[in-house]
Amino acid sequence: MNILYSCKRAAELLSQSLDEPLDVVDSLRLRMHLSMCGDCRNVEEQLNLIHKMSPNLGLLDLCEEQQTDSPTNGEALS
Amino acid sequence: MLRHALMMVFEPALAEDLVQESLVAVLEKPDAHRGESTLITWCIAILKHKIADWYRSPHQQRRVWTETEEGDPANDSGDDLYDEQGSYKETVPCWQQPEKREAQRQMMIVMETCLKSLPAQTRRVFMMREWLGFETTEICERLSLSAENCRTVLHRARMGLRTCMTAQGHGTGIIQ
Repeated sequence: MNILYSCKRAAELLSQSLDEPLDVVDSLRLRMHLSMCGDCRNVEEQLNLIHKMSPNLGLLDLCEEQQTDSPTNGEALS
Repeated sequence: MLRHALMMVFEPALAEDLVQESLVAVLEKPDAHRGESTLITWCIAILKHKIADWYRSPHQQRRVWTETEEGDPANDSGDDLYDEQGSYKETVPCWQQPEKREAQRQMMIVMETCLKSLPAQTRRVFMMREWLGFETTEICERLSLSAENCRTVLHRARMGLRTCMTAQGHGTGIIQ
């Protein structure tokens, strides 16, 4: 597993890949590591979910509050 | 809104100003949010713009990363997650994908709680990147951080959130 990066390095690259494109070698080695490592696939999914949720921070509970006034206006996050 | 502004700028008076400016902007053009899904979405969008503008304004330039508060960003923490080979000491659990509205809400609450547990500067970099959508190059420039440090801080923030959310997730249905 060491040739294909440690999980620690894989996590750094997973984070980096959310901000900028990885170079070909990093990207390839990361894919190979992920294909063999369930832990890192879970980490990948979690980081992706955090990334996906972040722009909506602040919206959800506000929508809930608003929903109590007018139930039709709650679809902002769906 | 104020809660979120506070999370971003850490100066109550300034946060209040920014929220107020946003609300005024909303009230001045009540029809401008046509096509946006709800008024709240629109308010938050304007608040984001105000905060982004504030970060980009010239007087912001001197607000740089201070090493005293959270240490040198080059000093990677979170090492205790891994063994000597750099593999995870404990199995990483799979998160439940929050498909239902209630699950999404639960998860968002957990995420907000965990965000608050991050060191202030780390959280700010994370919010600039993920909430405001700044490019990392711009964040580095604004905070006078090297690209490498910026990367490390973001990575640390994400792993911190991930670990915290996993820990909090037990009992809230995030973990199966």
